[in-house]
Amino acid sequence: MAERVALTSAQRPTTLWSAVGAARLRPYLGLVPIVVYVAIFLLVPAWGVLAGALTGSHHTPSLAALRTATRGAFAHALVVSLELSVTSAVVACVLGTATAIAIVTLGSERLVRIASSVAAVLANTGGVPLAFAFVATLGNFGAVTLALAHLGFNPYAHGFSLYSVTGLVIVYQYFLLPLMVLIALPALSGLRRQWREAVATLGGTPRHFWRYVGLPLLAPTLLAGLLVLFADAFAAYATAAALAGGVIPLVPLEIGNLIAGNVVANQANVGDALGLEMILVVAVTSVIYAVAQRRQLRWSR
Amino acid sequence: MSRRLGAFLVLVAVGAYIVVPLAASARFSVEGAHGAFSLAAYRAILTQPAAWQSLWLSMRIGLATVGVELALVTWTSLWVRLHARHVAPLVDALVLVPIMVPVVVIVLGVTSSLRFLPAVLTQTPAILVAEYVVLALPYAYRIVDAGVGALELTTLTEASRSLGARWHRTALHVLLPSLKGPLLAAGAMTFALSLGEYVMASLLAYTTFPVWLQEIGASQATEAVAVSTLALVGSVVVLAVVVLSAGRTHRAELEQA
Repeated sequence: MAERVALTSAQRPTTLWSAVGAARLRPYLGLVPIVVYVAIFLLVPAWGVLAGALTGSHHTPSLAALRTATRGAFAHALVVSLELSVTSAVVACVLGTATAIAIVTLGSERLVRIASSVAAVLANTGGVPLAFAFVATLGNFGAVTLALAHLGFNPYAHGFSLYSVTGLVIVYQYFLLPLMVLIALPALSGLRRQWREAVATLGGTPRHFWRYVGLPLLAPTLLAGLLVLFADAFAAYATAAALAGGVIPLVPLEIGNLIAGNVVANQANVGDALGLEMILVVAVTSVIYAVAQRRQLRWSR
Repeated sequence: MSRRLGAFLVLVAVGAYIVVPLAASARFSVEGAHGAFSLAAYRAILTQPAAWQSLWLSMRIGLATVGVELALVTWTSLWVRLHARHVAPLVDALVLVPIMVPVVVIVLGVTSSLRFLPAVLTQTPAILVAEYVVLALPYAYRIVDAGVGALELTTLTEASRSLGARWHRTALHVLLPSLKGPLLAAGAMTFALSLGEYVMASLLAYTTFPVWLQEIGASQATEAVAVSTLALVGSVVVLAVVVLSAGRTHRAELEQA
């Protein structure tokens, strides 16, 4: 009895729809909300930036904005942005991998689980509060600065400043390093102890293991991690704005300035052009990431 | 033995790097004149109307974002798993698109290309809600979809239907209760994200909590650090809830497998 009810109520809409001839469209009907939503609030704005970047001052197609955006002060901002995100990503990749190796080495199952929870939380911190926490730590009168000065080494007397690219690299580690730990931990846990023993049986040293087994296996993961870290650092805005707004020229901050209304007449579309630059950088990164992921999948099979 | 010692030292160093800024800002925030202990900064915040106004605005934006986000994500995930399995990879790709577009670029597009929408949406904080839903989409969808995937969806819906329940009863009394964990995790994640978002709010000139924090940072350093300490600790607590409840569903999934 119950069976019959279930069948009829399930079949009725299908027969109705096929009568109209739209049965094949029905599965897509429920996707309308999310597709429309993403289209309006993400794709339309992104398309607007793209179109704006390629439009001249008289609403005609033009590369003038792109040309301005890749010259002078804006080119400098792009170079500094890339410098900052590449340095942060490389440092975080090395330190994060070292941390993950340390965790696995000490490795009880429990420690690994706790560490990945902590890392997941920290990878999502950032923004303005993080900037101020570091001002209280490494600013001109921060706790660590004063402690070091007390020991006879004032970092600010030796050319260090929190409000510089070096300073930002140090601050960015706060969320990038945990992110790398999060990426590297599963791959490291996948390195079997037997492989290490196999290398040892064949007379190899730990160095041989890493050179010929460990690193080649980890390489795709490390590359993928590097790219994720790079994209994360490249798009970071709040921490940089709070610490270095106006001091360090960065592409996102330049766009912010243009939006905030410091627009000169012939720069109307330069913001869009800078936006296009950012999208391109992230897109290239994502493509390389996808390729690296595919390689990694092949190995883990 | 020396390898374990080295590993231990690495963890201690990283731990110090994580803990010292928190400790330093906590200490800085309670330091009064001549280094005496003082809670003056915290008292000063509590008596600033602007602090409460910005926090209230952020809370409302956060709650609205969570509501829209969960409705959109839950509906889509359930629909895909029940009626359109073959498009699951497409939807998975679609929800990842927001990661590809930096927030500041979205702001650019919002200011120039969304004029066709009614002003009540684009000229009020509602636009922040609308866009925060987009920003949180990749994370929220993955959490909820993993939860939905762990359910015996066909069995549950068919059982409920054969007992005579219409679809909305099935959704309300069967599916939602069994998705409590993932929904809570996705909601907390979304809430934390919209409460901490600075770029879009500041560029569109809405004084949400992080924007207010940045504004007082210039003139009231101690107060700003006090608020930062609270905000960091607060977001760590919220996110810990996420990680724990998401971890639980993940474990449940593993046990099922």
